[in-house]
Amino acid sequence: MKTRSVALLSLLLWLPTLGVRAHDHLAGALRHRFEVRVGARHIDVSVHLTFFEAASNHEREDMDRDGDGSVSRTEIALYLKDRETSLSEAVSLEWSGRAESLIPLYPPRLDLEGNDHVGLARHSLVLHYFFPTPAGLKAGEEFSLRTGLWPGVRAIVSLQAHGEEGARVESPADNHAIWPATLSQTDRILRFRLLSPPGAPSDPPPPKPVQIPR
Amino acid sequence: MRDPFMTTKNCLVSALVSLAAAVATFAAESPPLPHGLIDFAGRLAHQHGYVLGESHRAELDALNRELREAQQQGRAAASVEARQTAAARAGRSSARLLELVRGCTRLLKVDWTGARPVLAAPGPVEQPGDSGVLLLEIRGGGEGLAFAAGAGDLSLPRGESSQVELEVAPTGVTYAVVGLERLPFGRTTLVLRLNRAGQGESRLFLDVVTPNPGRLKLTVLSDDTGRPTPAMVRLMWRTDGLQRRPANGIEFAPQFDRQGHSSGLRAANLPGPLGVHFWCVPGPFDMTLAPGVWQVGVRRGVEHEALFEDVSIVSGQLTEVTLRPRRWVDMRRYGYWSGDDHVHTRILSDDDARNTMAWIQAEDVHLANIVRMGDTYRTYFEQRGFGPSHRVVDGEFVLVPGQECPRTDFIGHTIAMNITSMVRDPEQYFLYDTVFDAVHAQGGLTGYAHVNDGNFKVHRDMSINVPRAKVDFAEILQFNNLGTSLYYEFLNLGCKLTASAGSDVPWGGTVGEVRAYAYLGTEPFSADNWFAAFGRGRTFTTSGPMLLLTVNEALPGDEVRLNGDEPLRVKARAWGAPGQMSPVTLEIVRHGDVIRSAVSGAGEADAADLDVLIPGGQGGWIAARARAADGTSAHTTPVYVVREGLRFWKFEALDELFAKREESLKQIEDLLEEVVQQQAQGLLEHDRPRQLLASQSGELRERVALARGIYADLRATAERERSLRK
Repeated sequence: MKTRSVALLSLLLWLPTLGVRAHDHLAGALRHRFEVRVGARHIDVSVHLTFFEAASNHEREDMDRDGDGSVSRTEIALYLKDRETSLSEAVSLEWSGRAESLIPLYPPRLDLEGNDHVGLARHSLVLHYFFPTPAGLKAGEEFSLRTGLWPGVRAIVSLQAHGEEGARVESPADNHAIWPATLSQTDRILRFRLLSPPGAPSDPPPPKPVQIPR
Repeated sequence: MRDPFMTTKNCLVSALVSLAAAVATFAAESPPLPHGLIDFAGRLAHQHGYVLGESHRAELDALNRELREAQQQGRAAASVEARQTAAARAGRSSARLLELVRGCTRLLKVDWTGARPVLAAPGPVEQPGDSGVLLLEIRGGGEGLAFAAGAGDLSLPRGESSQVELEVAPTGVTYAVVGLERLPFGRTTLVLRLNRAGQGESRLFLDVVTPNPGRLKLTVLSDDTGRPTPAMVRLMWRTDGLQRRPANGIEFAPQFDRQGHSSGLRAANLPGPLGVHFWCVPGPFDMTLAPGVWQVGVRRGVEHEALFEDVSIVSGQLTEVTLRPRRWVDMRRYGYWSGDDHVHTRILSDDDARNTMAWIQAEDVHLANIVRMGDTYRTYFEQRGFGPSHRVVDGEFVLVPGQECPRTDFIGHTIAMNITSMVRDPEQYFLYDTVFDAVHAQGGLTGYAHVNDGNFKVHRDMSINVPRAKVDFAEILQFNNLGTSLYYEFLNLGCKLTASAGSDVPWGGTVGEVRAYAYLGTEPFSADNWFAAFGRGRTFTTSGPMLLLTVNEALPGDEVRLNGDEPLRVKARAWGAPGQMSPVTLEIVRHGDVIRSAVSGAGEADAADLDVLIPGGQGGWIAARARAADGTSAHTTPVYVVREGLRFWKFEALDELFAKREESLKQIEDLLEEVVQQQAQGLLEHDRPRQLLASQSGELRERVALARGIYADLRATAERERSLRK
């Protein structure tokens, strides 16, 4: 769980060369929107990352393997493939002394927002994770979501937590924060608390048993 | 020659044998599962769940989770037994998934046991609309089982747009899911480019056909007037989960002057469903859409509840939908009118003005300070002019040109409102007080941007000009981030500063996502009245909850004068949109410390209320702060409680506060020394900001000295007060 994406670290060294530009603090920033859903069966976490101008440009340069100045669908697929392991291990959940890597739920979706050129732009990357809801959760249980997604890059981070199937969850105010860029590569930690645990799982759709021929 | 198309039973048995072999490998070595299986399952479950039929959608999602859990379980397994357990779990799930796929009536079978691939049924494949999916079974010779994924974007340039590439396993059966986007209406011929390792590419023509579209006519009504209004609208097709731009969605990109590189698709920095992407539409629209269920979302700013409704569009039919987002609070009734102090859009034409006006009306923000931005080189977001004649007024909404300039990374960014001309002089660029004085001479208001997060070392110029009373306000709320550290430091020094908020679009999400409310009381709304109220400090800022405060009937920004230690009656109320923000926590803050708090109930009429008597003591500043359950927040400007003969500062913290300001002033001096040296060494030839800073260093040092003198006077004042405070 220690493989971390460091793709944007060099951005910090590169940004000052831009000189004085408009809103450089955002130009090199990422917006991380975390949404947590606690249900009886699963805890789902989705992360919507928005890459602003310089941050987007930096990633686009990485995507543009053939250096032709534009990003093709194939190049996006390879870019995501390269990051598959780091993205899949980037987010973990901690509670009651346990720490577990979240499991990727769907393939990442990258949207260049209609502009496939390399350059200052904006794009988004949506990631989905999940984890089986631990048994025996009690009201008041504190959870920490540890994220190593682009840790060295300035970030506008928010977390919204919801409860489902009887669960009630609250996320404290400090989950809505602006995190300065740091070279320390430390993970960011977001917290939420279970006000009441979910009820028993309802009518799960278990896989039907299938006889595997030998 | 063998029959190219095996019976379903035979093929299923063959695939299951391959699956069993793969699972056995998984158990022994962990991983792999069949190549591409996890990705295949994820794509199918996430974007194309409908293809197996709605009745299997939940099961498909469960199978995707099972497979992924089993994979992780297998990776983490420390024993053969644990690996076998994980493998058995993966095997059950993958077999069931395969069974579902094999039983899907939309499965396209391709035989590639010969030289070329052959499609079993060449007829057109029906797609649900302008996006869709192909589910393929490609059978080559020999054993093996693999899964693949591909995609086709029909909006790509001609010649490329109909082509879909797919990697096929060299032997055995490959199951593939191919997402299709931006399909034209009617019949389209796709070119499937099938690549099989070692055998090159083979092409297959495949026709797809989309159903006749339907039409949606959407009207959003104002809850105030019942008439059509601009609104923020989202159209999302339930079939693929993707958005479409409303027919008249405003593209703001040209007005953003290529700054921020963003478009009219706006995602507010707000929690949950409020933060998803919306377009601004100026009024009703009528557009063609694929048949099926569409989620229509409507937002109209923080005083209205957001609406999300599913609408069914039927082929060849017009569906008319009228939505009226409910206003959960009308702050005008309380005498408060909303504004956004930090909006960047170019306004050089009536069209530009109409677009921006539609945006503030859609978000129900009554006043927007449209700031022309500057730096040491140039300006951005040009305006037609400044002053009352260049305001754009439509009923109770007004766009007022202002400025964000000077703004430097060295000593902070500034904002001016209600100006009659832009004040910018590169030769005095770092002497912010010259701008503040000129703006005040015009009748305008001055403030600092980004105080909430302390960006651009704004504490440095604040340390010079706040104690000199050159500045009216500070942005303490931006991007839904309420940041009060710097703000409290200056309030605790006994400096008055009005709380403000600005969205900073296009870098921010949408106008009014954070806003400042100014108290006009019974005065009619106008830009002049709003600025007058704001200038008195009668504000609160919010990204969600509403907040009221009085201290002895005095409003935020007012002074309460005390002759002795008289009790103060503090009344405050905080409340939020029902079901979204509840419960809301209300806090009374004195000198930065919470002295009382209350939490609202969850009901619609519930509010957090406080009505308390507190000792006036030796004065101070008292503000109200609110945090809603959804992470939005609010903060008032303080009421300043001034005890006769005393400053309203935090007396016991003065040493620390003075030290912080001295540190800021020292940083400026160090910076000046550095740039002057660099200038002398000829190192600044290509660095205009530092050149200017060096050339203005003497005058800036004078201002540092002035500020230091003020702090010295304040220390002397503190000494004089010491005996009075015993």
